[in-house]
Amino acid sequence: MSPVQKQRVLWVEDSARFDLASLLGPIYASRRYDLTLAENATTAAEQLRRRRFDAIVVDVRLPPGNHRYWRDIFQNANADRTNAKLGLALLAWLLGAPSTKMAAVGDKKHAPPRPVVPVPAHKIGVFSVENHTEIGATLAALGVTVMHEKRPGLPDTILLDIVTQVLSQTAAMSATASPTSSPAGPVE
Amino acid sequence: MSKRSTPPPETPTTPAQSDAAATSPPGDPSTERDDTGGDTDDDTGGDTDDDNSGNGGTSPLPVVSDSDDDESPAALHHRIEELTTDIGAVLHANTSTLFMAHSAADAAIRALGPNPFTDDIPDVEDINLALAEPAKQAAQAIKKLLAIAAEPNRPQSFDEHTTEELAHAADTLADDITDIQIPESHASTLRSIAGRVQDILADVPPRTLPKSALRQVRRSVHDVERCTALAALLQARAAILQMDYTIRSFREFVTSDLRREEPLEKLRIAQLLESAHRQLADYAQISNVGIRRHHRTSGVDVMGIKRELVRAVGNLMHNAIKYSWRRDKTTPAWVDVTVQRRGKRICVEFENWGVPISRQELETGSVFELGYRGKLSVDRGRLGTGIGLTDAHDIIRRHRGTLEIESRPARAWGPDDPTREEYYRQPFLTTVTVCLPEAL
Repeated sequence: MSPVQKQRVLWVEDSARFDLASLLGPIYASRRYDLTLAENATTAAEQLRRRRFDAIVVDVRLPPGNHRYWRDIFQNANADRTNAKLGLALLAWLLGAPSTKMAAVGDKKHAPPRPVVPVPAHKIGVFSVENHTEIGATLAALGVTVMHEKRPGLPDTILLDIVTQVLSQTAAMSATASPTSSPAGPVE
Repeated sequence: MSKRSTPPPETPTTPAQSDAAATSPPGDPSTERDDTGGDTDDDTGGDTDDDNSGNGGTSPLPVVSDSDDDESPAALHHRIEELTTDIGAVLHANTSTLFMAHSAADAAIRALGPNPFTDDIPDVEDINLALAEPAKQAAQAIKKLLAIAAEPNRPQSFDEHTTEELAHAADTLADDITDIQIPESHASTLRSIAGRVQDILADVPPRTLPKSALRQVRRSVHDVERCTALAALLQARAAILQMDYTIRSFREFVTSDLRREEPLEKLRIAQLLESAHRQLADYAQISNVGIRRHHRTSGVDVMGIKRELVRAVGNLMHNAIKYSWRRDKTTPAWVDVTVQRRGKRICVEFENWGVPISRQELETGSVFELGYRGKLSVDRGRLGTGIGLTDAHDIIRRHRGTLEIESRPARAWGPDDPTREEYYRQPFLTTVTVCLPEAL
């Protein structure tokens, strides 16, 4: 497969360069994906606005980055900042969902612009330390069905597996949807 | 320069006396709940019951009834005590698991043979340097094998797809790795490729390729796997040591209220520092950070609870080690620990060169909040719970002491505008100063 046909993957994860660096090996070794890394909510939102992705894998516990909108949500978590679950807030923003206790929506007047082309929930996978009991209902309400819990014992192909699962789901959806869907690529 | 300090309480307290305040940051409204215990909302009771129903700990379940007494301060206190015991037991078990993991990592590191890394914690640059030659050898061996496989009249060893896969593997091993934008993934990418090549070779039909050529490829890709595995193990071993101290300290913190009241005693500052240093010796060594102790005054004592004060100075020393950067490639990082007398107080300064603490975090005092981790503290994958500094702060306050933090750019010529992103990318000199009343 030539490089121009690589599928675009966004991984939103603040530990990707450290604890989880081994998960990137199988992605790069496969030579099938053009991977973009976003290490906080601000960068993730910018990437999502600038480019279209075939698969988006999101962590739940994310740092806010510099943008006021994400910083406000993070700060408003007060003493529970480690539990701010900005990944869910990012999904709520991306999918235009209403605010919930688990997936907070910040002050709309400070919200960063959302992607011009809406991102469907079936292009999203969640990979986090939270288990299904904790966030399953929130993800279901958002329409996100691909979710894997980070825990010891997972193969180092887990990220590749999640991406494959998301892409298979997208392919299945595309087969039944309108044939005019836009391919991934830069928005501009 | 950013600076943060807190005044000592007016009267000295012991851990047992300070009760809830011992585990809550100063000013935390949660410390006032005893007065309103009867009004605790239903969620609290419900959650606690749920937790108990799934309790796998070592202590018996608390007696739960449907009466309003469940919400009494005594009942809540009992529940907290039981939960604390369970948490302590789980953390104790974790320490054993970390010990086992560390021993296994040590054994594996030895078994993997010659160690090409000069540092105990190799960074990306070290890893790429160590991998360069084995990767080049592997690329050459694969190319040679492909050339042999393509010879006319030789039985087919690889199908077209596998041949292409091997050619890509050779290219990436040779030099394509630098095209990958996330340098931290280079080692794992090479390991994946090496593993895949081994899998392919395992399926080569017998008598289709010379054994010597196959052996050469196997050996060279094994060396790539070996180096990447060594790097991963060294990094994991360092992370285990770092987390081990964190868990031990957290266990002490959680269970401190359960211990019977310990008496105040006269303690020599030098011995407190020595005890903390000893606990952290392995971690400091593996982190390649030296501890330089300077005693500007000697033979000085403070009144306190030994276990608590060792934990407090240990937490501060641990942070100083953890957040140190190496100043250049040839000199290991170091932490300066200075003891000096200031009037009637004995002060210990922990000074390190490395990760900044932002002005805002110091001014708002957020660095002292329980569970808060510095915005800049997670660089280079540093682990942590956000408890160590809060715990040290509480202990020092209970001993009628003060804890001050200063963090300022280490270089006079670096960026000087705190609103610019690059400001906090430069090294900072961070000084944590603990002062305690001298025992005469």
